[in-house]
Amino acid sequence: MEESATQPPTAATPSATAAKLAMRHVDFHYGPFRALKDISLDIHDRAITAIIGPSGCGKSTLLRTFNRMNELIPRTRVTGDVLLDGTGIYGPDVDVAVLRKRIGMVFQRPNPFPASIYDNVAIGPRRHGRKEPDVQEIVERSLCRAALWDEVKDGLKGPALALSAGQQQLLCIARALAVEPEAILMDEPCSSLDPAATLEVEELMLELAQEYAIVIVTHNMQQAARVSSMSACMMMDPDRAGVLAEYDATSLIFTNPKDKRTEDYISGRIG
Amino acid sequence: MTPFKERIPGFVFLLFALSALSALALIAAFLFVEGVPLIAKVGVGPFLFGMKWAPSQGLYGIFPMIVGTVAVTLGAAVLGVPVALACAVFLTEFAPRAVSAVVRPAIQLLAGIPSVVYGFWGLIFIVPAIRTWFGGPGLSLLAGSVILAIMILPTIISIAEVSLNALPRLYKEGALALGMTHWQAIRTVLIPSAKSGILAAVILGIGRAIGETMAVIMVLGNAVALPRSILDPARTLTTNIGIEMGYASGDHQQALFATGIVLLLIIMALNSLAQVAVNRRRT
Repeated sequence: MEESATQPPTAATPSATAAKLAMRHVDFHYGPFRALKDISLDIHDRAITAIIGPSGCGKSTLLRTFNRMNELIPRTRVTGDVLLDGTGIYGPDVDVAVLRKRIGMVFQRPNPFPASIYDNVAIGPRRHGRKEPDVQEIVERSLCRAALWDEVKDGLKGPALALSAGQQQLLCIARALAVEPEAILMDEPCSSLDPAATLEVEELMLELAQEYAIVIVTHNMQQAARVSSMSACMMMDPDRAGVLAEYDATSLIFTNPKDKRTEDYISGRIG
Repeated sequence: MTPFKERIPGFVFLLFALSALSALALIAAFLFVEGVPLIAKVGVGPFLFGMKWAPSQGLYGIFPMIVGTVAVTLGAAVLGVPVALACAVFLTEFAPRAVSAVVRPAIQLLAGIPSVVYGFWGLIFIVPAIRTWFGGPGLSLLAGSVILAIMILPTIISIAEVSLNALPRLYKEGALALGMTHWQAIRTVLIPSAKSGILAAVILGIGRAIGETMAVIMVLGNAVALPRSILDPARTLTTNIGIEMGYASGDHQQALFATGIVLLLIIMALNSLAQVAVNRRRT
Protein backbone atom coordinates (compact mmCIF):
# COMPACT_ATOMS: atom_id res chain seq x y z
CA MET A 1 0.00 0.00 0.00
CA GLU A 2 3.03 2.30 0.13
CA GLU A 3 2.65 3.50 -3.46
CA SER A 4 -1.03 4.21 -3.17
CA ALA A 5 -0.39 6.64 -0.34
CA THR A 6 0.23 9.36 -2.92
CA GLN A 7 -3.30 9.00 -4.20
CA PRO A 8 -5.85 11.31 -2.58
CA PRO A 9 -7.96 8.51 -1.10
CA THR A 10 -5.52 6.09 0.34
CA ALA A 11 -7.55 3.10 1.29
CA ALA A 12 -7.69 0.51 -1.40
CA THR A 13 -9.14 -2.12 0.83
CA PRO A 14 -12.79 -1.81 1.74
CA SER A 15 -13.34 0.30 4.80
CA ALA A 16 -16.84 1.37 5.66
CA THR A 17 -15.98 4.79 7.00
CA ALA A 18 -14.31 6.48 4.02
CA ALA A 19 -16.63 5.17 1.34
CA LYS A 20 -19.28 7.28 -0.35
CA LEU A 21 -20.59 4.24 -2.14
CA ALA A 22 -19.85 0.63 -1.36
CA MET A 23 -20.76 -2.90 -2.31
CA ARG A 24 -20.56 -5.91 -0.05
CA HIS A 25 -20.77 -9.34 -1.64
CA VAL A 26 -23.10 -8.16 -4.34
CA ASP A 27 -24.56 -10.63 -6.81
CA PHE A 28 -26.70 -9.48 -9.68
CA HIS A 29 -29.01 -11.66 -11.74
CA TYR A 30 -30.80 -11.08 -15.02
CA GLY A 31 -33.39 -13.79 -14.68
CA PRO A 32 -31.41 -17.01 -14.20
CA PHE A 33 -28.18 -15.45 -15.49
CA ARG A 34 -25.73 -14.21 -12.88
CA ALA A 35 -24.11 -11.09 -14.29
CA LEU A 36 -22.16 -10.02 -11.20
CA LYS A 37 -20.58 -12.34 -8.70
CA ASP A 38 -19.56 -11.42 -5.19
CA ILE A 39 -18.53 -7.83 -5.80
CA SER A 40 -17.16 -5.89 -2.86
CA LEU A 41 -15.62 -2.47 -3.27
CA ASP A 42 -15.57 1.02 -1.80
CA ILE A 43 -16.01 4.15 -3.90
CA HIS A 44 -14.25 7.09 -2.33
CA ASP A 45 -15.73 10.52 -2.08
CA ARG A 46 -14.12 13.34 -4.05
CA ALA A 47 -12.29 11.00 -6.36
CA ILE A 48 -12.73 9.34 -9.71
CA THR A 49 -13.07 5.60 -9.74
CA ALA A 50 -12.74 3.91 -13.11
CA ILE A 51 -14.36 0.59 -13.88
CA ILE A 52 -12.44 -1.12 -16.65
CA GLY A 53 -12.47 -4.53 -18.22
CA PRO A 54 -13.35 -6.36 -21.42
CA SER A 55 -16.75 -6.06 -23.10
CA GLY A 56 -19.62 -7.90 -21.52
CA CYS A 57 -18.01 -8.38 -18.14
CA GLY A 58 -20.68 -6.39 -16.31
CA LYS A 59 -19.16 -2.92 -16.00
CA SER A 60 -22.35 -1.10 -16.86
CA THR A 61 -24.42 -3.48 -14.78
CA LEU A 62 -22.18 -2.74 -11.82
CA LEU A 63 -22.50 1.00 -12.39
CA ARG A 64 -26.26 0.84 -12.74
CA THR A 65 -26.56 -1.12 -9.54
CA PHE A 66 -25.52 2.03 -7.69
CA ASN A 67 -28.60 3.99 -8.76
CA ARG A 68 -30.93 1.03 -9.16
CA MET A 69 -31.24 1.70 -12.87
CA ASN A 70 -31.14 -2.01 -13.58
CA GLU A 71 -34.60 -2.26 -12.08
CA LEU A 72 -36.05 -0.96 -15.33
CA ILE A 73 -35.30 -4.40 -16.74
CA PRO A 74 -37.82 -6.96 -15.53
CA ARG A 75 -36.74 -10.02 -13.58
CA THR A 76 -33.50 -8.64 -12.27
CA ARG A 77 -32.35 -9.31 -8.73
CA VAL A 78 -29.68 -7.93 -6.43
CA THR A 79 -28.30 -9.68 -3.38
CA GLY A 80 -25.70 -8.43 -0.95
CA ASP A 81 -25.45 -4.84 0.24
CA VAL A 82 -25.10 -1.69 -1.82
CA LEU A 83 -24.39 1.23 0.47
CA LEU A 84 -24.61 4.99 0.11
CA ASP A 85 -22.95 6.70 3.08
CA GLY A 86 -23.13 3.37 4.86
CA THR A 87 -26.87 2.93 4.36
CA GLY A 88 -28.33 0.20 2.17
CA ILE A 89 -30.01 1.53 -0.97
CA TYR A 90 -32.03 -1.57 -1.69
CA GLY A 91 -33.90 -1.41 1.60
CA PRO A 92 -37.70 -1.54 1.59
CA ASP A 93 -38.10 2.07 2.77
CA VAL A 94 -35.70 3.62 0.25
CA ASP A 95 -37.34 6.08 -2.16
CA VAL A 96 -35.74 5.30 -5.51
CA ALA A 97 -36.42 8.79 -6.85
CA VAL A 98 -34.62 10.35 -3.89
CA LEU A 99 -31.76 7.90 -4.30
CA ARG A 100 -31.38 8.78 -7.97
CA LYS A 101 -31.48 12.47 -7.14
CA ARG A 102 -28.52 11.88 -4.80
CA ILE A 103 -26.63 9.78 -7.34
CA GLY A 104 -26.62 11.41 -10.76
CA MET A 105 -25.94 9.61 -14.00
CA VAL A 106 -24.44 10.47 -17.37
CA PHE A 107 -25.06 8.06 -20.21
CA GLN A 108 -23.02 6.59 -23.01
CA ARG A 109 -24.83 8.51 -25.71
CA PRO A 110 -25.67 12.12 -24.91
CA ASN A 111 -29.39 12.09 -24.22
CA PRO A 112 -30.67 15.63 -23.90
CA PHE A 113 -34.45 15.81 -24.04
CA PRO A 114 -35.95 17.33 -27.19
CA ALA A 115 -36.48 20.67 -25.47
CA SER A 116 -34.57 23.91 -25.06
CA ILE A 117 -31.12 24.01 -23.47
CA TYR A 118 -32.59 25.89 -20.53
CA ASP A 119 -35.43 23.43 -19.98
CA ASN A 120 -33.06 20.49 -20.12
CA VAL A 121 -31.18 21.79 -17.12
CA ALA A 122 -34.22 23.27 -15.39
CA ILE A 123 -36.36 20.15 -15.58
CA GLY A 124 -34.68 18.41 -12.66
CA PRO A 125 -34.79 21.28 -10.15
CA ARG A 126 -38.38 22.04 -11.18
CA ARG A 127 -39.36 18.45 -10.52
CA HIS A 128 -37.85 18.72 -7.11
CA GLY A 129 -39.93 21.73 -6.25
CA ARG A 130 -37.61 24.66 -6.96
CA LYS A 131 -39.30 27.84 -8.14
CA GLU A 132 -38.36 30.04 -11.08
CA PRO A 133 -35.87 32.63 -9.74
CA ASP A 134 -34.05 29.78 -8.00
CA VAL A 135 -34.23 27.57 -11.06
CA GLN A 136 -32.72 30.25 -13.25
CA GLU A 137 -29.80 30.58 -10.90
CA ILE A 138 -29.32 26.82 -10.71
CA VAL A 139 -29.36 26.57 -14.51
CA GLU A 140 -26.68 29.22 -14.84
CA ARG A 141 -24.56 27.71 -12.09
CA SER A 142 -24.85 24.19 -13.50
CA LEU A 143 -24.02 25.28 -17.03
CA CYS A 144 -21.02 27.25 -15.71
CA ARG A 145 -19.93 24.26 -13.70
CA ALA A 146 -20.16 22.08 -16.81
CA ALA A 147 -18.05 24.61 -18.76
CA LEU A 148 -20.85 25.17 -21.22
CA TRP A 149 -22.25 28.51 -20.07
CA ASP A 150 -20.13 30.74 -22.29
CA GLU A 151 -21.06 28.78 -25.38
CA VAL A 152 -24.80 28.66 -24.80
CA LYS A 153 -25.67 31.67 -22.67
CA ASP A 154 -26.98 33.62 -25.66
CA GLY A 155 -29.10 30.76 -26.94
CA LEU A 156 -30.60 29.16 -23.87
CA LYS A 157 -33.99 28.89 -25.56
CA GLY A 158 -32.47 27.11 -28.54
CA PRO A 159 -33.05 23.39 -29.03
CA ALA A 160 -30.64 21.17 -27.11
CA LEU A 161 -30.54 18.69 -29.98
CA ALA A 162 -28.92 21.34 -32.19
CA LEU A 163 -25.78 21.29 -30.04
CA SER A 164 -22.74 19.25 -31.04
CA ALA A 165 -22.36 15.81 -29.47
CA GLY A 166 -19.69 17.08 -27.10
CA GLN A 167 -21.83 20.04 -26.05
CA GLN A 168 -24.79 17.72 -25.59
CA GLN A 169 -22.79 15.55 -23.24
CA LEU A 170 -21.68 18.62 -21.25
CA LEU A 171 -25.32 19.64 -21.15
CA CYS A 172 -26.23 16.22 -19.77
CA ILE A 173 -23.59 16.67 -17.10
CA ALA A 174 -25.02 20.12 -16.31
CA ARG A 175 -28.45 18.56 -16.12
CA ALA A 176 -27.17 15.97 -13.66
CA LEU A 177 -25.43 18.66 -11.58
CA ALA A 178 -28.59 20.76 -11.44
CA VAL A 179 -30.32 18.35 -9.07
CA GLU A 180 -27.36 18.69 -6.70
CA PRO A 181 -26.22 15.09 -6.51
CA GLU A 182 -23.60 13.70 -4.15
CA ALA A 183 -22.12 11.23 -6.58
CA ILE A 184 -22.11 10.94 -10.36
CA LEU A 185 -22.11 7.74 -12.37
CA MET A 186 -20.77 7.96 -15.90
CA ASP A 187 -21.32 5.13 -18.34
CA GLU A 188 -18.67 5.50 -21.04
CA PRO A 189 -19.42 9.21 -21.28
CA CYS A 190 -16.90 9.84 -24.04
CA SER A 191 -17.40 6.83 -26.25
CA SER A 192 -19.43 8.76 -28.80
CA LEU A 193 -17.32 11.93 -28.67
CA ASP A 194 -14.40 13.09 -30.75
CA PRO A 195 -10.97 13.52 -29.10
CA ALA A 196 -11.38 17.25 -28.47
CA ALA A 197 -14.74 16.82 -26.81
CA THR A 198 -13.39 13.85 -24.87
CA LEU A 199 -10.62 16.02 -23.52
CA GLU A 200 -13.15 18.64 -22.45
CA VAL A 201 -15.28 16.11 -20.63
CA GLU A 202 -12.23 14.62 -18.95
CA GLU A 203 -11.07 18.02 -17.73
CA LEU A 204 -14.53 18.64 -16.38
CA MET A 205 -14.52 15.28 -14.60
CA LEU A 206 -11.23 16.07 -12.91
CA GLU A 207 -12.64 19.33 -11.69
CA LEU A 208 -15.90 17.81 -10.50
CA ALA A 209 -13.93 15.17 -8.62
CA GLN A 210 -12.99 17.84 -6.11
CA GLU A 211 -16.59 17.86 -4.95
CA TYR A 212 -18.19 14.60 -5.98
CA ALA A 213 -17.61 10.91 -5.92
CA ILE A 214 -17.40 9.97 -9.59
CA VAL A 215 -17.60 6.48 -10.99
CA ILE A 216 -16.81 6.07 -14.64
CA VAL A 217 -17.11 3.03 -16.83
CA THR A 218 -14.65 3.17 -19.68
CA HIS A 219 -13.33 1.01 -22.46
CA ASN A 220 -10.49 3.39 -22.92
CA MET A 221 -7.60 2.50 -20.66
CA GLN A 222 -5.72 5.67 -21.42
CA GLN A 223 -8.76 7.52 -20.20
CA ALA A 224 -8.85 5.50 -17.00
CA ALA A 225 -5.16 6.23 -16.50
CA ARG A 226 -5.62 9.93 -17.20
CA VAL A 227 -8.56 10.69 -14.96
CA SER A 228 -9.04 8.10 -12.26
CA SER A 229 -7.35 7.69 -8.94
CA MET A 230 -8.82 4.27 -8.31
CA SER A 231 -9.44 1.53 -10.83
CA ALA A 232 -11.60 -1.52 -10.62
CA CYS A 233 -10.74 -4.12 -13.22
CA MET A 234 -13.54 -6.53 -13.96
CA MET A 235 -13.28 -9.87 -15.67
CA MET A 236 -15.63 -12.56 -16.85
CA ASP A 237 -15.55 -15.81 -14.97
CA PRO A 238 -15.77 -19.07 -16.90
CA ASP A 239 -19.51 -19.11 -16.06
CA ARG A 240 -19.73 -15.65 -17.71
CA ALA A 241 -20.44 -13.85 -14.46
CA GLY A 242 -18.63 -10.56 -13.94
CA VAL A 243 -16.14 -10.55 -11.11
CA LEU A 244 -13.90 -7.91 -9.68
CA ALA A 245 -10.43 -9.09 -10.64
CA GLU A 246 -8.56 -6.30 -9.00
CA TYR A 247 -9.32 -3.03 -7.30
CA ASP A 248 -6.57 -0.65 -6.40
CA ALA A 249 -5.04 2.74 -6.96
CA THR A 250 -4.94 3.40 -10.70
CA SER A 251 -1.18 3.97 -10.60
CA LEU A 252 -0.73 0.49 -9.16
CA ILE A 253 -3.15 -1.22 -11.48
CA PHE A 254 -1.40 0.19 -14.49
CA THR A 255 2.19 -0.28 -13.32
CA ASN A 256 2.08 -3.29 -11.13
CA PRO A 257 -1.10 -5.35 -11.49
CA LYS A 258 -1.30 -8.26 -9.09
CA ASP A 259 -3.89 -10.20 -10.98
CA LYS A 260 -2.70 -12.07 -14.07
CA ARG A 261 -5.92 -11.31 -15.95
CA THR A 262 -5.64 -7.60 -15.16
CA GLU A 263 -2.11 -7.60 -16.44
CA ASP A 264 -3.15 -9.33 -19.64
CA TYR A 265 -6.01 -6.95 -20.16
CA ILE A 266 -4.00 -3.83 -19.51
CA SER A 267 -1.15 -4.90 -21.70
CA GLY A 268 -3.67 -5.55 -24.47
CA ARG A 269 -3.42 -9.33 -24.56
CA ILE A 270 -7.15 -9.79 -23.88
CA GLY A 271 -10.23 -7.62 -24.28
CA MET B 1 -27.97 3.40 -67.94
CA THR B 2 -29.87 0.55 -66.34
CA PRO B 3 -30.87 -2.18 -68.80
CA PHE B 4 -34.47 -1.96 -69.85
CA LYS B 5 -35.34 -5.32 -68.29
CA GLU B 6 -34.37 -4.10 -64.84
CA ARG B 7 -36.47 -1.01 -65.12
CA ILE B 8 -39.68 -2.93 -65.79
CA PRO B 9 -40.57 -3.61 -62.12
CA GLY B 10 -40.17 0.03 -61.19
CA PHE B 11 -42.36 0.98 -64.11
CA VAL B 12 -45.08 -1.51 -63.17
CA PHE B 13 -45.15 -0.30 -59.59
CA LEU B 14 -45.30 3.27 -60.79
CA LEU B 15 -48.41 2.39 -62.79
CA PHE B 16 -50.12 0.94 -59.73
CA ALA B 17 -49.15 3.93 -57.62
CA LEU B 18 -50.51 6.24 -60.27
CA SER B 19 -53.81 4.37 -60.38
CA ALA B 20 -54.29 5.10 -56.66
CA LEU B 21 -53.45 8.72 -57.28
CA SER B 22 -55.72 8.95 -60.29
CA ALA B 23 -58.65 7.72 -58.19
CA LEU B 24 -58.10 10.72 -55.94
CA ALA B 25 -57.77 13.01 -58.92
CA LEU B 26 -60.96 11.64 -60.51
CA ILE B 27 -62.99 12.05 -57.35
CA ALA B 28 -61.70 15.54 -56.74
CA ALA B 29 -62.28 16.55 -60.35
CA PHE B 30 -65.79 15.16 -60.35
CA LEU B 31 -66.63 16.93 -57.09
CA PHE B 32 -65.39 20.22 -58.43
CA VAL B 33 -67.02 19.90 -61.84
CA GLU B 34 -70.36 19.10 -60.28
CA GLY B 35 -70.16 21.33 -57.23
CA VAL B 36 -68.45 24.52 -58.31
CA PRO B 37 -71.24 25.74 -60.67
CA LEU B 38 -73.74 25.53 -57.83
CA ILE B 39 -71.46 27.44 -55.49
CA ALA B 40 -70.95 30.03 -58.23
CA LYS B 41 -74.70 30.32 -58.70
CA VAL B 42 -75.54 30.64 -55.01
CA GLY B 43 -72.40 32.60 -54.10
CA VAL B 44 -69.63 31.46 -51.77
CA GLY B 45 -70.91 33.59 -48.87
CA PRO B 46 -74.55 32.50 -48.99
CA PHE B 47 -73.51 28.89 -49.53
CA LEU B 48 -71.05 28.69 -46.63
CA PHE B 49 -72.85 31.02 -44.25
CA GLY B 50 -76.46 30.70 -45.31
CA MET B 51 -78.62 29.65 -42.38
CA LYS B 52 -81.30 27.92 -44.38
CA TRP B 53 -81.07 24.65 -46.28
CA ALA B 54 -84.31 24.18 -48.23
CA PRO B 55 -83.61 22.64 -51.63
CA SER B 56 -87.28 22.80 -52.60
CA GLN B 57 -87.12 26.60 -52.30
CA GLY B 58 -83.68 26.78 -53.89
CA LEU B 59 -82.01 27.72 -50.61
CA TYR B 60 -78.64 26.09 -50.11
CA GLY B 61 -77.06 27.44 -46.92
CA ILE B 62 -74.83 24.87 -45.19
CA PHE B 63 -73.79 26.91 -42.18
CA PRO B 64 -75.89 24.86 -39.69
CA MET B 65 -74.17 21.73 -40.99
CA ILE B 66 -70.73 23.25 -40.70
CA VAL B 67 -71.62 24.09 -37.11
CA GLY B 68 -73.00 20.58 -36.64
CA THR B 69 -69.83 19.03 -38.03
CA VAL B 70 -67.54 21.21 -35.92
CA ALA B 71 -69.62 20.70 -32.78
CA VAL B 72 -69.95 16.94 -33.00
CA THR B 73 -66.27 16.58 -33.88
CA LEU B 74 -65.17 18.84 -31.07
CA GLY B 75 -67.40 16.89 -28.70
CA ALA B 76 -65.88 13.63 -29.89
CA ALA B 77 -62.38 15.06 -29.38
CA VAL B 78 -63.17 16.34 -25.90
CA LEU B 79 -64.57 12.96 -24.87
CA GLY B 80 -62.28 10.71 -26.86
CA VAL B 81 -58.82 12.27 -26.86
CA PRO B 82 -58.14 12.11 -23.10
CA VAL B 83 -59.31 8.50 -22.96
CA ALA B 84 -57.25 7.58 -26.01
CA LEU B 85 -54.08 9.23 -24.74
CA ALA B 86 -54.49 7.69 -21.30
CA CYS B 87 -54.90 4.35 -23.00
CA ALA B 88 -51.77 4.87 -25.13
CA VAL B 89 -49.75 5.83 -22.06
CA PHE B 90 -51.13 2.85 -20.18
CA LEU B 91 -50.16 0.48 -22.99
CA THR B 92 -46.64 1.86 -23.40
CA GLU B 93 -45.72 2.56 -19.79
CA PHE B 94 -47.87 0.67 -17.33
CA ALA B 95 -49.46 -2.40 -18.84
CA PRO B 96 -47.78 -5.71 -18.09
CA ARG B 97 -47.05 -7.64 -21.24
CA ALA B 98 -49.93 -10.04 -20.62
CA VAL B 99 -52.41 -7.18 -20.30
CA SER B 100 -51.26 -5.24 -23.36
CA ALA B 101 -51.35 -8.47 -25.34
CA VAL B 102 -55.10 -8.51 -24.73
CA VAL B 103 -55.88 -4.80 -24.76
CA ARG B 104 -54.02 -3.91 -27.95
CA PRO B 105 -55.82 -6.36 -30.26
CA ALA B 106 -59.10 -5.49 -28.55
CA ILE B 107 -58.58 -1.86 -29.50
CA GLN B 108 -57.72 -2.87 -33.05
CA LEU B 109 -60.98 -4.81 -33.09
CA LEU B 110 -62.78 -1.59 -32.18
CA ALA B 111 -61.53 -0.20 -35.49
CA GLY B 112 -62.99 -3.15 -37.34
CA ILE B 113 -66.58 -2.80 -36.11
CA PRO B 114 -68.73 -1.52 -39.00
CA SER B 115 -69.97 1.99 -38.40
CA VAL B 116 -73.58 0.95 -38.88
CA VAL B 117 -73.17 -1.27 -35.84
CA TYR B 118 -71.90 1.69 -33.82
CA GLY B 119 -74.88 3.68 -35.02
CA PHE B 120 -77.33 0.95 -34.15
CA TRP B 121 -75.83 0.48 -30.72
CA GLY B 122 -75.90 4.24 -30.17
CA LEU B 123 -79.53 4.39 -31.20
CA ILE B 124 -80.52 1.59 -28.84
CA PHE B 125 -78.38 2.53 -25.81
CA ILE B 126 -76.90 6.02 -25.97
CA VAL B 127 -79.89 7.90 -27.36
CA PRO B 128 -82.41 6.62 -24.77
CA ALA B 129 -79.85 7.12 -22.01
CA ILE B 130 -79.38 10.76 -22.97
CA ARG B 131 -83.14 11.23 -23.23
CA THR B 132 -83.61 9.78 -19.75
CA TRP B 133 -80.72 11.49 -17.98
CA PHE B 134 -80.44 14.85 -19.72
CA GLY B 135 -83.83 15.30 -21.40
CA GLY B 136 -84.42 16.41 -24.97
CA PRO B 137 -85.04 14.08 -27.87
CA GLY B 138 -81.93 12.00 -27.21
CA LEU B 139 -81.01 12.15 -30.88
CA SER B 140 -78.45 14.90 -30.42
CA LEU B 141 -74.97 16.30 -30.82
CA LEU B 142 -74.09 14.64 -27.54
CA ALA B 143 -75.13 11.20 -28.81
CA GLY B 144 -73.10 11.76 -31.98
CA SER B 145 -70.10 12.90 -29.97
CA VAL B 146 -70.19 9.85 -27.72
CA ILE B 147 -70.36 7.45 -30.65
CA LEU B 148 -67.62 9.26 -32.56
CA ALA B 149 -65.46 9.47 -29.45
CA ILE B 150 -65.49 5.69 -29.30
CA MET B 151 -64.93 5.33 -33.01
CA ILE B 152 -61.81 7.51 -33.05
CA LEU B 153 -60.20 5.72 -30.10
CA PRO B 154 -58.33 3.09 -32.14
CA THR B 155 -56.87 5.65 -34.55
CA ILE B 156 -55.58 7.92 -31.81
CA ILE B 157 -54.44 5.14 -29.50
CA SER B 158 -52.42 3.28 -32.08
CA ILE B 159 -50.67 6.33 -33.54
CA ALA B 160 -49.99 7.84 -30.11
CA GLU B 161 -48.71 4.49 -28.89
CA VAL B 162 -46.36 4.19 -31.84
CA SER B 163 -44.94 7.64 -31.24
CA LEU B 164 -44.47 6.99 -27.51
CA ASN B 165 -42.81 3.66 -28.26
CA ALA B 166 -40.53 5.31 -30.79
CA LEU B 167 -38.91 7.48 -28.13
CA PRO B 168 -35.34 6.46 -27.33
CA ARG B 169 -35.14 4.46 -24.12
CA LEU B 170 -32.49 6.95 -23.06
CA TYR B 171 -35.12 9.65 -22.59
CA LYS B 172 -36.86 7.65 -19.93
CA GLU B 173 -33.62 6.57 -18.31
CA GLY B 174 -32.35 10.14 -18.38
CA ALA B 175 -35.49 11.36 -16.68
CA LEU B 176 -35.44 8.66 -14.03
CA ALA B 177 -31.73 9.27 -13.42
CA LEU B 178 -32.63 12.83 -12.44
CA GLY B 179 -34.69 11.47 -9.60
CA MET B 180 -38.06 11.71 -11.29
CA THR B 181 -40.78 9.26 -10.46
CA HIS B 182 -42.13 7.17 -13.29
CA TRP B 183 -45.18 9.40 -13.59
CA GLN B 184 -43.10 12.59 -13.56
CA ALA B 185 -40.93 11.15 -16.31
CA ILE B 186 -44.02 10.35 -18.38
CA ARG B 187 -45.58 13.74 -17.81
CA THR B 188 -42.59 16.02 -18.18
CA VAL B 189 -40.33 14.12 -20.57
CA LEU B 190 -42.02 11.32 -22.48
CA ILE B 191 -45.32 12.94 -23.45
CA PRO B 192 -43.74 16.29 -24.40
CA SER B 193 -41.09 14.44 -26.42
CA ALA B 194 -43.76 12.57 -28.34
CA LYS B 195 -46.00 15.58 -28.73
CA SER B 196 -45.71 15.93 -32.49
CA GLY B 197 -46.72 12.30 -32.98
CA ILE B 198 -49.50 12.65 -30.44
CA LEU B 199 -50.72 15.78 -32.18
CA ALA B 200 -50.75 13.94 -35.49
CA ALA B 201 -52.73 11.14 -33.84
CA VAL B 202 -55.32 13.59 -32.56
CA ILE B 203 -55.61 15.34 -35.91
CA LEU B 204 -56.06 12.08 -37.80
CA GLY B 205 -58.64 10.99 -35.24
CA ILE B 206 -60.51 14.23 -35.77
CA GLY B 207 -60.33 13.72 -39.51
CA ARG B 208 -61.89 10.31 -39.01
CA ALA B 209 -64.67 11.88 -36.94
CA ILE B 210 -65.40 14.51 -39.56
CA GLY B 211 -65.66 11.92 -42.29
CA GLU B 212 -67.86 9.45 -40.43
CA THR B 213 -71.38 9.31 -41.84
CA MET B 214 -73.41 6.21 -41.16
CA ALA B 215 -73.18 6.04 -37.38
CA VAL B 216 -73.81 9.76 -37.14
CA ILE B 217 -76.92 9.66 -39.33
CA MET B 218 -78.45 7.16 -36.93
CA VAL B 219 -77.97 9.10 -33.71
CA LEU B 220 -77.75 12.78 -34.62
CA GLY B 221 -81.41 13.51 -35.41
CA ASN B 222 -80.47 15.19 -38.70
CA ALA B 223 -82.41 18.44 -38.20
CA VAL B 224 -81.25 21.13 -40.59
CA ALA B 225 -81.71 23.91 -38.03
CA LEU B 226 -78.77 25.43 -36.20
CA PRO B 227 -78.32 23.46 -32.94
CA ARG B 228 -78.57 25.58 -29.79
CA SER B 229 -77.24 23.06 -27.27
CA ILE B 230 -75.50 19.72 -27.23
CA LEU B 231 -78.85 18.08 -26.55
CA ASP B 232 -80.29 19.40 -29.83
CA PRO B 233 -80.39 17.28 -32.95
CA ALA B 234 -78.11 18.43 -35.74
CA ARG B 235 -76.85 17.54 -39.17
CA THR B 236 -73.28 17.31 -40.39
CA LEU B 237 -71.84 17.83 -43.86
CA THR B 238 -71.46 14.10 -44.37
CA THR B 239 -74.90 13.16 -43.13
CA ASN B 240 -76.39 15.84 -45.34
CA ILE B 241 -75.01 14.03 -48.36
CA GLY B 242 -75.86 10.62 -46.98
CA ILE B 243 -79.49 11.47 -46.30
CA GLU B 244 -80.39 13.38 -49.44
CA MET B 245 -78.34 11.78 -52.19
CA GLY B 246 -81.01 9.17 -52.85
CA TYR B 247 -83.58 11.60 -54.18
CA ALA B 248 -81.59 14.72 -55.10
CA SER B 249 -81.34 15.92 -58.68
CA GLY B 250 -80.36 19.03 -60.57
CA ASP B 251 -79.22 21.93 -58.40
CA HIS B 252 -79.96 19.92 -55.29
CA GLN B 253 -77.60 17.17 -56.36
CA GLN B 254 -74.96 19.72 -57.26
CA ALA B 255 -75.37 21.30 -53.85
CA LEU B 256 -74.55 17.94 -52.28
CA PHE B 257 -71.40 17.73 -54.38
CA ALA B 258 -70.58 21.25 -53.24
CA THR B 259 -70.97 20.04 -49.65
CA GLY B 260 -68.48 17.33 -50.58
CA ILE B 261 -66.02 19.98 -51.75
CA VAL B 262 -66.19 21.70 -48.39
CA LEU B 263 -65.61 18.35 -46.67
CA LEU B 264 -62.68 17.51 -48.91
CA LEU B 265 -61.06 20.87 -48.23
CA ILE B 266 -61.48 20.45 -44.46
CA ILE B 267 -59.96 16.96 -44.53
CA MET B 268 -57.11 18.12 -46.75
CA ALA B 269 -56.35 20.96 -44.37
CA LEU B 270 -56.36 18.57 -41.41
CA ASN B 271 -54.13 16.04 -43.13
CA SER B 272 -51.60 18.70 -44.06
CA LEU B 273 -51.67 19.85 -40.46
CA ALA B 274 -50.92 16.29 -39.34
CA GLN B 275 -48.14 16.11 -41.90
CA VAL B 276 -46.62 19.31 -40.55
CA ALA B 277 -46.85 17.95 -37.02
CA VAL B 278 -45.10 14.73 -37.98
CA ASN B 279 -42.38 16.48 -39.94
CA ARG B 280 -41.59 18.81 -37.09
CA ARG B 281 -40.47 15.78 -35.09
CA ARG B 282 -37.63 15.14 -37.51
CA THR B 283 -36.02 18.54 -37.15
